[in-house]
Amino acid sequence: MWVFLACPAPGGGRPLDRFVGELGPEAENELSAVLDILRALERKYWTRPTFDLLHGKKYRGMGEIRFYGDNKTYRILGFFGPNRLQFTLLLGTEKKRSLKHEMDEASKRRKFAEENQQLLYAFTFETIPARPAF
Amino acid sequence: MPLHSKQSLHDRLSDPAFRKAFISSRIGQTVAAQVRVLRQRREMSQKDLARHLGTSQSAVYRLENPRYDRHSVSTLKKIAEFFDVGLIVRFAAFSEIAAWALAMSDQAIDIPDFDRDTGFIERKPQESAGMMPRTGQPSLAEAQWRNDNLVGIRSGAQLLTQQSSPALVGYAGAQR
Repeated sequence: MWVFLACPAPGGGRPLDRFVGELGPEAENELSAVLDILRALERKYWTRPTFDLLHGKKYRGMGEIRFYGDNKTYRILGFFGPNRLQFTLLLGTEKKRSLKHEMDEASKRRKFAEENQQLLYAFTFETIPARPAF
Repeated sequence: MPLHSKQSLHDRLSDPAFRKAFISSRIGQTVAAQVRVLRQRREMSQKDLARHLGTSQSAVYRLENPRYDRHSVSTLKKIAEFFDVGLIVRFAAFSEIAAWALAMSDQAIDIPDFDRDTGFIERKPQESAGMMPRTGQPSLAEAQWRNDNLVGIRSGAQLLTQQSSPALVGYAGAQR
């Protein structure tokens, strides 16, 4: 089984938890279902439409988790590692025409994550800040 | 590591909007992933599968799209028959679906066909190395103890088989 890790921001705070905390009920449930399925699947089955690799030398080993909810399409960018059967979630965003800026930001965060592995934490919906009922 | 605890999922499900989204997402994502993985395991393209099912490639594409929500039971039955797996279509308590989601394993998605289904295999009782010392001949009391426990193990195996078989007939994969 895969483990999803998340990376805090270099200056502190948990941007991914904040992103997930702001999702509506549909999107949150879609994300939860996608992650539950991916964590149970062999790497070869991590394919579209729920996952895709990022292309380009700079983004080697990086991918995006894709989901839809509340009339919006979302992406969570991350990378395989740092250890076997781990996928580290770096950055969540609503899908736009181009995600170049987000991909570059994710690439920077990956470097930070690999250099500060002790800061990575297991991602669960338990760590999401408390929200009011939908 | 599960993404939710049982308690937190229960708390979230107390909101009707969350319950609705929970069921919808589990159906959409699970069916789409299962069809895709069953197809990919056989190294088939969407076009190949469409040909076998007597439908179009775009219909298979739709079935593998988690957002698609107009599945017909007859189509799902046709897919189950083609891949030689079972199919469950029934109403259930939220707690049952939550327990299934929390215990998600690879076999919940990558469903074995009948020939690869190990759920029917009856385990043979084995003498555990830790149960008895292996030196010399056992005394009468030891032999009796060993025999009693072997019977116990056999009964346990039968009981497990009796308990699990009916469930496996209709629930292939989903209850593991």
